[in-house]
Amino acid sequence: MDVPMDWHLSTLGVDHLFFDRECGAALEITWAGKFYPGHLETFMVRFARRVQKCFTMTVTPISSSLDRVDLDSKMEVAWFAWAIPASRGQGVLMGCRRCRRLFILRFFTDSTDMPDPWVERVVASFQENCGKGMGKWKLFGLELSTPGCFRLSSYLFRPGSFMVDFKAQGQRLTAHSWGPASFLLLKNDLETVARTRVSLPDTNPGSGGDEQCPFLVWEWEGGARPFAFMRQRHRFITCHNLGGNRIIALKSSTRGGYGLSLLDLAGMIKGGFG
Amino acid sequence: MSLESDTRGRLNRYDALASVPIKSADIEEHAVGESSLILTYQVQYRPMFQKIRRLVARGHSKGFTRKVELDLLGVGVWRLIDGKNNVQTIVRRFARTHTLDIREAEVSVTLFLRSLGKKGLIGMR
Repeated sequence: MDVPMDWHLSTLGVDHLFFDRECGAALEITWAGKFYPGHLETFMVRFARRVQKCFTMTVTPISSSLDRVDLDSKMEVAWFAWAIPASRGQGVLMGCRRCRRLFILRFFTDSTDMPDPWVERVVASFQENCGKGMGKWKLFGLELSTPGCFRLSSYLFRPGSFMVDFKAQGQRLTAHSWGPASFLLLKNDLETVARTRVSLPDTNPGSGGDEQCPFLVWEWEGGARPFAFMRQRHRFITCHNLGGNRIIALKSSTRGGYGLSLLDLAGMIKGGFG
Repeated sequence: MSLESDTRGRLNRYDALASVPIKSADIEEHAVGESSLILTYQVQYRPMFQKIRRLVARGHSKGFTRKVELDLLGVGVWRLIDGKNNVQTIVRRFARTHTLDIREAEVSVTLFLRSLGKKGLIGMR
C-alpha cells in the first residue's frame, strides 16, 4: 500500500491499522471478516446500520467516484461518506474476490465530497496478500518477509525494544529489534545483549555471515518430551545492523511432529543479515 | 484535531511538542567518565514531615540532597535542554544522533522529560 510520507503508523492490531499525520488521524483500515462476491451493497447497508447504532456515525453510500480509481479486478469496491459530530471523511468497503475478505478503509479528510487524489492513490495501491506468497512487513524500520501461512499473533513496540510475533500451524516466528545498538554494545557484546533479552541455551553460539555482517546462531531442542510430535526445535539468530543502528534478532520455533523445517532466518530480514 | 489544549487544561500532543524545557537553577552536574553524568539537586520535605522533624527537633533543614545518574542517552538529551530547543527539536536531534525512528525517539524523549519534570529538574515553558 502506498501512503503519503508524512503518515505514520499509530496503532497496529490483529484486525486493524491506524495511521496518523501531523494534524491528526489519517486512515483506519479494518479487516472486517468474510465477504461474498456480489453482495457488497448488502454489506454496505449492514455496515451503515451497525455504525449508526454503535458509534452514532452516519454513513452514506457514494456511487459517482467509483470509476475514478483503476482497481485490480480481484477487488470489489463501494465508496461511502461518513460523519460523526467531531470529524468526517470518506471511506471505502473493499472485498477481495480471491481470499473473500472484507476491508473497510476510513479516511479522515474533513470533507465528504469527491475523494482527494491521495485517497484514490491509497485505495488504488491497496492489496491483500491472500495468504499466498511471502508476507512483507515494514514496521518502524523493521523489514521482514514471512511465509504466507504466518499470521500476526502479537506485537510490542516499546522505545528501544520492538517485538513482532507470528504464528502458523506448529510454527512460531518472533522478530526483535533493539536499539540504539551503539549504546547497547558500548559495554556488552552481541551475545550478552541477546542473552539478557531472550532465554537462550548455555551452549556457545555458532557464527555465520560475512565480515561486514557477521551473525550469531543458536539451535537447540526444547524440553525432554516423551513423544516426537511434542518436541520443539528452536533457532535463534542475531546480528548488529550497522546501517539502522539496531540489533536484530529472529527466533523460530517448530514442533517436530509436523515435519516442518526450520525457517531460513537469515534471508527473512532486509538489511539485517545481508 | 484542535491545536489548542483540551477543556480540562491538558496539553495535546502538538502543544506538548512545541513547549520548551528549562533546567532548574539549583542543580549541580558532575561528569563521571565520558558517558554518564550525576545530577545533584535539593528536595524539600513534605509539610507534614517538616512538622514532625520540628517536633522531634532534628535540625532545621527543610530538605535533603538527591542524586540522579544519567546514562549516555540521558546525557545527550540533557545537553540539548538549553532553554531554546523545544521538545520537537530535541526529539529530532536525538533521533538523528542515534539513527532512531522519529516516533520511537518521541516516546523515549518525552518519557525521559516527564521523569525529569516529576523530580523537579526541569520545567516547561
